[in-house]
Amino acid sequence: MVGMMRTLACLMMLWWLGIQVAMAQLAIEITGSSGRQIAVALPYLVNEEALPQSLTEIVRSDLERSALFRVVDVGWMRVPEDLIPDYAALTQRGAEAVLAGSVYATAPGVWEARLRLFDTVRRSELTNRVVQFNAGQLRAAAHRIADLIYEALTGVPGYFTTRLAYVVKSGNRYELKIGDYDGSHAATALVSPEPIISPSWSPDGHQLAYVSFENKKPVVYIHEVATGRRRVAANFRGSNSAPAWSPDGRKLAVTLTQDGISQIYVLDLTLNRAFRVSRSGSIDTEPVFSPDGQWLYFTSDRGGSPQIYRMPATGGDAQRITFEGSYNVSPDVSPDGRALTYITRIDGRFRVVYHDLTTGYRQILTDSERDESPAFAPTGHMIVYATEVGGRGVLAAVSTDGRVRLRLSASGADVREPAWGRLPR
Amino acid sequence: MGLHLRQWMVVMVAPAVLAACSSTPTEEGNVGVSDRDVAASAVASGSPSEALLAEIKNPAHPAHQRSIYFDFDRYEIKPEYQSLVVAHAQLMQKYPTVKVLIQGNADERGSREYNLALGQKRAEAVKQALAALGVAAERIEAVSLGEEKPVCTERNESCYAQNRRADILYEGEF
Amino acid sequence: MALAQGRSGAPSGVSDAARASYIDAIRAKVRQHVVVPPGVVGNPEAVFDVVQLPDGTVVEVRLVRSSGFAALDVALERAIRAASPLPTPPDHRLFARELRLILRPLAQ
Repeated sequence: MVGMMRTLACLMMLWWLGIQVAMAQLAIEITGSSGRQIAVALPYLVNEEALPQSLTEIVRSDLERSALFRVVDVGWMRVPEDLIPDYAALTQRGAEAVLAGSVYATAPGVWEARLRLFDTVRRSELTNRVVQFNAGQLRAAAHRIADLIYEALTGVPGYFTTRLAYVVKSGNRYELKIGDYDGSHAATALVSPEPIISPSWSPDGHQLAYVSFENKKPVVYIHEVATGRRRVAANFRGSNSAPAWSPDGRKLAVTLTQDGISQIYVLDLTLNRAFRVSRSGSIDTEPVFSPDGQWLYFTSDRGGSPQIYRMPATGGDAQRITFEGSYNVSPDVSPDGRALTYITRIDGRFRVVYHDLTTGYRQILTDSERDESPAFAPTGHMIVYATEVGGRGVLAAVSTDGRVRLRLSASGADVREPAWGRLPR
Repeated sequence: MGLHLRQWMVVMVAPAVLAACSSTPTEEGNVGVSDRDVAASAVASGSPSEALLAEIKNPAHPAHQRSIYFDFDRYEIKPEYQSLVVAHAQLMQKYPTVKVLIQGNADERGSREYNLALGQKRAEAVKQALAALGVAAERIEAVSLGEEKPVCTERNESCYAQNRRADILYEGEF
Repeated sequence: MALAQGRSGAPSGVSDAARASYIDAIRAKVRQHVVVPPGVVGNPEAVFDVVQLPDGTVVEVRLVRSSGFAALDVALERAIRAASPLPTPPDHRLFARELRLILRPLAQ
C-alpha cells in the first residue's frame, strides 16, 4: 500500500513537472522562408595556379547554375585547409560557408586537392575531402567538389558528375552525344544520316540503348560507351523502339509491333528472349521500370486517349494513373519511386508535369509550348527535358518544385532527346 | 488475333540469332536479328523487283503513286485511296516474290514514341487492306517512321496533312 | 527563474503586446535564415524543440517532428542555428529557455 502510494506520488510529481516543462516552453509558428540563396565563398585554392585550368572556377559555375547558391567574392583571400579560416572576414562579406584547400603535385601531371568545407556561422567543419586527378580528369574532379559542397549545404546529393546523352540534328546528319550534366564537353558516340531517338542509359552508366532508323525502320541498339562498339538489341519484324533498362540492368523493356500493333515486351538480355507483357488491342508504348523493378509505367490509349498506366513488370492488369487532360505521355519515374514526370497537353501546348504518386498531387512545371522527353536527374530533384526556343530544339532542366530553371548548353544546333545517366556506383 | 506460323518462326528464330549476335559485340554495320533478306538491297539485274520498279516508274501506271494519306488521328484508309490499294495489290500478285515494306508516318505534334505508334497503325492498316485483297501477309513488313522523316516542316495544317501518310516501298528500295 | 506561460497568457505585469513583439522578433530572425532546398513540394511542417541561454545563444536544437523531407529538416535546423543568438526580450520575464518552433517554410 505504501509502495503504491509512493509510486503514485512519484507519478504525480512527474506529471506536474511535465506540465511545468510544457508550460515553460514557448511555442512559435514560423511560416515562409528567406527566398535567398546559400552564400558560399570559393577562394582560389593555395597553389591552384599550378593547374592547367582553374578548379574553383568550374565549381563556381556549377553551383551558380544550380540557382541555389550565390558565390561571394573574397578577392585575393587564400584559405589553406590546415589553418582556421578568418571567420570574421568571411561572415562580414556575407559568406555562410567557405571552401578551404590547397593543391599539391604528387607526381608529374598528377595533383591532389586537399579540401575542407567550413561553416562560417557555426565556425565548424562541415566536411573534408582529398581529390586526386590528372589534367584529363580535372573537370570531373571539379564536378565532384561541386557535388560535395552542394550536398553538404543542401542535404541533397549533387548532380554535377552525371552524364547527359542527347541527339543533335544538323540538316540530314544526326549525332548521339554524351557530355557533362549540362551537355558541355560532349563526345560523339554515333553519327548517322538517319534519325536517332530514345537514348536510355544502363543503370551502371556503361551502355546506352537507342533507336536508329538507318535500316529504314526503327531498330534498337545497345552501345558500349567506353569502346564505341554496339550490337542490335531488337530488330523484330515491324518497329522496335522505346528501350528502357530494368534497375538490375538485365532486362530491356521495348515496344515491338510484331503482333500488328505497338505493344510492350521485356527483353531478357541474358536469355536473349523477348516476352510480351502488355495485352491490349491499343497502343501501349514508352515503358519505364519503377526503381524497385516491380512495375512498368507506360503510355496507352486503351481508354480512348493517350494516358499513363502502370502494370506489374511481368505483365498483368494495368491501373490508370492520369485522369486530368486528354493527352498524357512520356512518363519517367523518380529514383525514389514516389513521383512521375510526363508531358501533358493543355490547349494544344505540351508541358512538363510533376506528379506525386503518393498524394496524386500534380504540378505543371513549365510554361512552354512544345516540351518533350522529360527525365529525372539521378538525384531526383531536377527534370531534364527537350524544348524549343526560336524554332530550335534546346535542352532545359527544372527543379521538381518548379523554382529553379536551367538552360543547358545550347550549341546553336537542333538538340533533342536528353537522357540523364545514373549516379556512378 | 493468332500469330501466323511464319511469325511464330520469327519469334523463335530471332532470339537465337540475337544470341549469336550478342555473344560478342558486333561492329557497326553487322546488323543481326532480322528476318529480312540481307541481300535485299542489292537488286540483281533482271530480277523481279527490278522489273517491278521499272514498271511503276511510269507516271501513268496505276501504282505509280506510293503514298496514302490519312485524316487527323485516323488510321482508316479513305475511299478515295481504295483504287490505289487495289492497284498495288495487283502489282504484288504479278510479282509474288518481291518483298514489300510499308512505312507509316505521323505529323510532328506530341511525343516521338507515341507518334511512332500512330504511324505504325497507318502502316498496319495498309498491310491489312492488301492482305484482304489476297496478298500474302508474310511478304509485307509494316514499320513506322513516326515524325522522324517528314516531307515538310512547316507548322501548319497543310504540312501536317502531308505527313499523315503511309508509303509503299518495294524490294530494292530498302 | 522566469517562466513564460506557453499558452496561458503573459506573466502578470508584462503586456501581451510585449510578448507578441518578442515572438515576432524570434520569428523574423529564424525565417531570415531559412533556405528551402530543391524538391520540396506541398506545405510541409517541421517541429523543433530549442534550448537557449538568457543571452539568446542556441545551445540545443532537437527535431520533434520531421517535415517529411530529410533535406528540409537539415536546412531548417541550420536556419535555427544560424539565427543564434536569438533576440532577447526587453523584459527579462518574457524570456523562455525552451522554445518549440513550428516551421512551415512554404506557407505564406
